[in-house]
Amino acid sequence: MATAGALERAAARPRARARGAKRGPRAVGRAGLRTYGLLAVAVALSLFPLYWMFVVGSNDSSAISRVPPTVVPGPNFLRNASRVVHTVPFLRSLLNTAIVATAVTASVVFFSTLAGFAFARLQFRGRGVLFLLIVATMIVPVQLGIIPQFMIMVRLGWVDRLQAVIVPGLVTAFGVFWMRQYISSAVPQELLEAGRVDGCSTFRLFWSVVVPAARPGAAVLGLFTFMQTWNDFLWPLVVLRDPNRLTVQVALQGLNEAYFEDYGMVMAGTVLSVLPLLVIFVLLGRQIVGGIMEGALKG
Amino acid sequence: MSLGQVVERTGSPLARPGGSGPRPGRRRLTLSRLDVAVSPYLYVAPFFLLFAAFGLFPILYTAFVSLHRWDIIGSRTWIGLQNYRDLLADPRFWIALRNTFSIWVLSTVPQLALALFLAHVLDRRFLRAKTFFRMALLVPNVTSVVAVAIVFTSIFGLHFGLVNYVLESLGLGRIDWKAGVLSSHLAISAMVMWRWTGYNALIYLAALQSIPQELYEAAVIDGASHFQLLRRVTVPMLRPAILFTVVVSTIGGLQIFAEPLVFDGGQYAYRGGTGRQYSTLALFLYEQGFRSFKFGYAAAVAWVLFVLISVMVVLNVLVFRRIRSAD
Amino acid sequence: MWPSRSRPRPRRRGVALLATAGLLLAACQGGGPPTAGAPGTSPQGAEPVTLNMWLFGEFGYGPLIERYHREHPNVTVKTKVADYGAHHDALTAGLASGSGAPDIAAIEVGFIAAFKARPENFYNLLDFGAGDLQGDYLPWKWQQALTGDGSALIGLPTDVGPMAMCYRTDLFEQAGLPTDREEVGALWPTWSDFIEVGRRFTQATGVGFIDAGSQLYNAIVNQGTEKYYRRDDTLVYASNPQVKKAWDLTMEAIQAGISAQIAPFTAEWNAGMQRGSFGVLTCPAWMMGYIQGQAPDTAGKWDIAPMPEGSGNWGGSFLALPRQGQHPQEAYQFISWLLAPEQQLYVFEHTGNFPSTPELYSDPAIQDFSNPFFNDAPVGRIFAESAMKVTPIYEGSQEGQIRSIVESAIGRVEQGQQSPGEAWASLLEELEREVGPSS
Repeated sequence: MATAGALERAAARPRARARGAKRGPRAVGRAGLRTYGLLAVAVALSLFPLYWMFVVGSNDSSAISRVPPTVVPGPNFLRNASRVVHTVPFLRSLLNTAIVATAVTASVVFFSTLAGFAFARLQFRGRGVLFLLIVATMIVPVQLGIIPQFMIMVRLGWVDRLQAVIVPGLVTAFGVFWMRQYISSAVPQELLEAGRVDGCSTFRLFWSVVVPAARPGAAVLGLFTFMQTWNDFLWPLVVLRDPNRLTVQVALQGLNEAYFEDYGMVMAGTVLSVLPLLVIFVLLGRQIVGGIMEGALKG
Repeated sequence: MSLGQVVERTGSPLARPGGSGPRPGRRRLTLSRLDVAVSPYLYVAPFFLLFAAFGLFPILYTAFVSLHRWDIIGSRTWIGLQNYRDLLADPRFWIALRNTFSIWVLSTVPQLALALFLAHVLDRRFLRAKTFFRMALLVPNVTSVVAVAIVFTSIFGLHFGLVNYVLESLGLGRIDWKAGVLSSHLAISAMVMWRWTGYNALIYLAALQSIPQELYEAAVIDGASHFQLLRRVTVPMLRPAILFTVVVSTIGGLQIFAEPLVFDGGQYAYRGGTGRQYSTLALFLYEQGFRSFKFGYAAAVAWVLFVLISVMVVLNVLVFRRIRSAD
Repeated sequence: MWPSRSRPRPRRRGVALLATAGLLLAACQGGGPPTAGAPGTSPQGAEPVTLNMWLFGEFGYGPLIERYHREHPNVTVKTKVADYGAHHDALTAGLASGSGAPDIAAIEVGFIAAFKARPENFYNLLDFGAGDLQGDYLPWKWQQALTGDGSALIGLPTDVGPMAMCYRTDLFEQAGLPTDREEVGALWPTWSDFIEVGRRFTQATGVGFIDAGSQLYNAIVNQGTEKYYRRDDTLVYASNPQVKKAWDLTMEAIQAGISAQIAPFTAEWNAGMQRGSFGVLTCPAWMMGYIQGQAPDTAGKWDIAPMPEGSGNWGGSFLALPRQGQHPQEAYQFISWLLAPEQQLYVFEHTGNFPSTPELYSDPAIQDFSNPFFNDAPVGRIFAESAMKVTPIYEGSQEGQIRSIVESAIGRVEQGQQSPGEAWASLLEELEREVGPSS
């Protein structure tokens, strides 16, 4: 998988740096028993709610009222899960979310790379000001524009359409910022100049030089965007109501509200809603960790 | 998926020098000049156009809407600043404001302290299974807020919650987590902390590991003690990372919405508790806008929240500057 | 003879035709087994139609929808079930913003007046010949969905909520109380007696008597003829003695410590019901559906007794057809079948929601119907008696919102956030700000 390979490289950098650094005197000691003990507690706390989700989701619905509480998984997960998908169009919601997250991710990655390239390596009047604007908008909580945004969607007739959640997410200031930083460090100016001398058009340079070199950074951005879009809640809640058009977060909230009498089912739905991201995380978690740590150094 | 395509379609950068072949001439020259002059704008245009339409415009228009009595069918009356006057006189607003700040502080301060501590632990030399620990701590962050809120709400249940079961078996009394101001804020803060502590720990860890070794060596040569190393080298070098995490948690924390909504869970979830003891500004905004359909009033709430967050972020930055210059 | 469904029909010219359709339908409903309309009413070649129906809570329509689909293969009904509050808000939003409303929507009685205020948002069911069905339904129920001038009907009645008291026989026995339904009813001629029984019960068993204060409050307040509004729709929440009486008794019950403090309609409520964390539950007929659905393991441990101080109506709904729907004809045909007496009887027998069609009340099918889940209580007779005793209560335009504010205030006292006095004061303040001053 090309993406994974690219990610591998992205993640490799900070690790390489860390590995390469010789550890001399430092305010830290060696990892001892206490270190592992502390980390074990932290990991347990970190994983417990997920475990609990599965425990409740795999028992029958009377399990939650048992004293002492049931703390081991039961045999009913598949039964509960099938009730979820038969009671509400939950699979449809998962599919909708996948569509939305994929479209948003593709768009964010493409436009961010394009704009990031322009900001990192092209000369044009207003570059500084415009980039400053982008940095400034990063701290603007644009979600707060939901009232007019809702009015716009009503006007466009997009209420209950997936594009209502896709279109506002097509670009992010963070994406442009991230790609600009990445391209600045990953694409040597000389390479571009050589290409210019050879008569490449700007887009040609972008496509043949920048895109390949920016792949690792773009992949990390893509992962973040995908996860973030998957977990979006407030705006989809406002603009989507038709049960067949919901994203999974909204569907989950509705399930929790309306089917409180079947908590095993609600929790099975909760498990289903986090499962796709967990799978992605297990496969690419190393790269996500690398991305976050590298991003921390750039931001 | 087009991400794959973007990634797939590569070519060795300079494999085909000359591109479309030598065709010198004035026409080509003008074209290429045009290309150089216009391309940058074309490349940044999609961002600015889309952002203007779906980011900037709604935010500005929110201010406009907030000056009206405006209902969902679009009938509107100009009322100037009346919505803001009403808001300042509305006890629900002040309660929501108090709760928002309280939950934000209760979740952010221990969270960042804990993250710093975890980063310190993760930074130990010769730690085995590094990747496993890092991933395990980051898992909560990929779990959606709604799922987190559902699970924690069940854990903090009054009669059948796990936490109360443990408290009772320890001989302590049950706590009605939803009933009190502090208890409900603690429960909600726990959700936020669970989701973000690992993420912040990784940020700090990255910052810790990027501190150049020479700084420590130089300090040791100067005879610095362990504590002085921490005080003189580690903390100052971590400052940008801390500022970053504080800003991120300010922007996110002050907009907290899903957690209190799901935590209530009853028929009137958008109230944020019977006495609004955990209603937040974002929840109040949603209630006014999409339950009561008072768009003008809700827009006023949104605008106030917007200004509040901006001020808080700027304040964060200023405080950090101040600390830096004081050093 | 049935008008072709495939041809788009201009609405106004179609009225006569629709009226005929209604007549035909009414004829179909006359008697016989509850089949979904006469055969042949749904030509094989009819265009496939999908009807979206929004519900909340437990309506018990699942099997009926399937049956309808079997007999009308071209009509598919998709349901969405949401929480009570979220459901009505989503409907409001969908109607007002001009998109997103379903073909068929349930409207609870607490909201019917609010929606009726904008009849243009709905198809007028009288245009479809619903007028001919009037005789099937309780007159007061019918009136609730009819505009003031009688020109438009926005919904057909689903169920009504005549009230009784559900109680746990096993817990009553444990508390040394009688378990026979007649004797239990005799324990509590008045609400004060009821609270007294609660004291004894809680003392003996250690669990709550009622599930939550708000449930008791709703039982009492719905026994009057007016609650928050006078019949001319002026607000009287602060001066109506019925409201104050319900409030005071609820406060007394909470302070007597007989509430289990379990928020109704939440997961904890469900768990509490399974575990027997409370002894009685205010039972409008529709509550039986909740109990059977949520605590199937408690079958046989419940019984039903009359409520203190007579009957009353709590809840019940209507099905309305928002104007945004593209298939009003099919939708009307479906709901008029679904809400005909035979189907209402089916729902009662299987779910517990009580019919709004009085001709059934004396029918042996109801009179002789008992439910093993409730210890073979003659639930048919109990609720039929209760329904006939109901004095219709006036439901004003912002009933739903007022109810949420009152229930929150009760919750504050229950959770110890406020004293009854403080809660009453803040309640009046909030009502005045949110819905307007009371006379």
